[in-house]
Amino acid sequence: MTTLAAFCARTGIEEEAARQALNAHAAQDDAPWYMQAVLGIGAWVTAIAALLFAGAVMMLVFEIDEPNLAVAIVGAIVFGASLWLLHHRPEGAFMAHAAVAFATAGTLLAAAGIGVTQESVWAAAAATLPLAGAAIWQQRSVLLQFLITSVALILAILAVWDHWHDVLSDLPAIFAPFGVALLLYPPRRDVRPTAFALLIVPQLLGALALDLETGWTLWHGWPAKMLFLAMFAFLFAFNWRRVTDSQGRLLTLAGAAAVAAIALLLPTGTAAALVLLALAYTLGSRSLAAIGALAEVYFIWRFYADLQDTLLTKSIILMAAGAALLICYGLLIGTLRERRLS
Amino acid sequence: MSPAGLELGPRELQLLRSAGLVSARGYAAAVDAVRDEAFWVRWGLRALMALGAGQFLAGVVFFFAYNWHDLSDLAKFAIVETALVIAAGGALLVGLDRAFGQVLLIVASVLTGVLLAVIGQVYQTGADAFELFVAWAALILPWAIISRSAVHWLLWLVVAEAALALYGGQVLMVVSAVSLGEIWVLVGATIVLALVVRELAVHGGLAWGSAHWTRLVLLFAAMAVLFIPAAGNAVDIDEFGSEPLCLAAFLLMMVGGAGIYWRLRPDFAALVMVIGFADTFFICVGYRLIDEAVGFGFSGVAPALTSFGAMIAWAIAGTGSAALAMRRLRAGLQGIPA
Repeated sequence: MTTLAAFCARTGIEEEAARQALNAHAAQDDAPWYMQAVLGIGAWVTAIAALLFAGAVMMLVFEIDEPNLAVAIVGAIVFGASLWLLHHRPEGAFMAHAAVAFATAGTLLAAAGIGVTQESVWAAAAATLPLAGAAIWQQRSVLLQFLITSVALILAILAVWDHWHDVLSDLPAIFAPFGVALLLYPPRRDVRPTAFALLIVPQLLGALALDLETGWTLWHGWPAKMLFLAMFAFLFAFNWRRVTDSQGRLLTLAGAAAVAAIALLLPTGTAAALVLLALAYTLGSRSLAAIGALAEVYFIWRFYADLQDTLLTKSIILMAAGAALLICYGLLIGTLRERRLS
Repeated sequence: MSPAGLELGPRELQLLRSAGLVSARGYAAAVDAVRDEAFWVRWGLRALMALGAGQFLAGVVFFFAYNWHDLSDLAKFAIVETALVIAAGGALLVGLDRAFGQVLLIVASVLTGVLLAVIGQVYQTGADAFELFVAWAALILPWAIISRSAVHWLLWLVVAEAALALYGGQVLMVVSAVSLGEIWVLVGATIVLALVVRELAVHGGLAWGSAHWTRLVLLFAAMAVLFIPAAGNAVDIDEFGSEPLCLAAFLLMMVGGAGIYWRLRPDFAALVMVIGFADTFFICVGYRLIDEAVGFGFSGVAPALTSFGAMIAWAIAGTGSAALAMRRLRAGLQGIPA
């Protein structure tokens, strides 16, 4: 890893100002992730019990049988109170997780209250937008931002599918470029959780929905594939400046061409996973690398059940694609070895 | 974080961006300054190899799946055995002191199980599944011993535990010799034994098994396997049986684990794991107590509000105490390497 002094020397940023900016956030709770996970489980159990308690009050005391405007207002109040809690009592993982759980529940209540009253998924999705905005505006919890923007995204996609009475299988591809742009050119507010939601949640929802029904694909998925290929090409161009010698550039081009060919030959999800892997490389993000690798394995496994081609055709495609990549790998390794020897 | 030698990662970069010290256009250059170029070049090459090998092998699997029913029995054996010989031979050629050699030997161990499954399919031996796992564990044990690889041992342990669990389910339970709860305890106890062996071996100077994750994986597996029947009995799931034994085994593991990783081998991550399971078990016990005393449900205002209200208080008490314990232990164990 790079030290602050080396970073400042390389980028020309004033070291004292950078240290002050980093120290301003040093007081926040830095409990390790496994400790946060234990406290998170307890907090979420508490929140579920609290929601059942609130449900009992609404059903048995106020005799509300199905979500209505009052439920939506209660949801918005719960969301607001949770944000207040996060801002005024930020210390302690238990409190933070409980606030996140309540804020998420508040969002769902608000969406259900508006959606059921209006009998429209669009209305439910629209109701979550201001809450998603607030979740992005608050900068205390990345988990909250991820969850609320995910809820908004899921409802928006469900609204589109509901409108067309069909699962549009390639719809998730539309969201990915926004995620890529937010990660490569981030605004001053931390929107990384929103970017992750844009990149991952629509793909996940699409995969889950297609497990349940066939869905409808626009022009055999070519527009979505081309969109992912365009993103891959952009990321490739972004990284091009890192390769300096002509031989290395030639081989990198060959590797990129092989990867692009795979993105074209295999199902759309594989192309999405390749974009995640390329983004992980560009930003040096281990979490994106892990998600991309898992997505790649999942989509190749799903390819087995794809009914468009026979197993024989699919096996030939996979073997050819794999062989092309291995040849590129061998050439790259050979070049690196030559360079090391010379 | 305050010293000048502070190391920067993505989070710190975002903080500098939020402070306006890094512009949106300059973000890429800032990433370049922070990103470990050598690591990511290595990662890129390995990802390319993994993608290529994975897709090629998936293609091979698809090809045989397409033809499997039409293949003769001899061909089926030839395919699996050839792959097995290549993997084992490759491991010997490459050498077990290299990671690739160890991976090849692990592949050979997995293929041994595949070969046994094909034998069962072709000859319809009528053997129980536990026999396959026993044979598998016995056959790959020598490879595990010579491998000097924690991953290989973990694979062996999974196969052996599966054999034990299946033997319990397919033989002992059928003759009513043991209950389901006792089988879980037996499996949990053998994982605890593996953990004890690991701790003693590492204490005795075993280097290749000393990685921290090996302790955490074994501890988590042992605690989870002992937690399931204890919690199942706590929330009144009848099928486990042997309530006192399951409860005693879990409590013993909890107390023993806490004592060892607090005093003998101080390890905060391991302690957090023990505390996490204890907290979850405490919540399960609370659920049972409240359910029996008041009952959960929406049938009446008073019982519904009392039961859910009591559950909230119980969960807060449990997790709050866990938080307090972890905070104190963390302060006490700060700076002690695991």
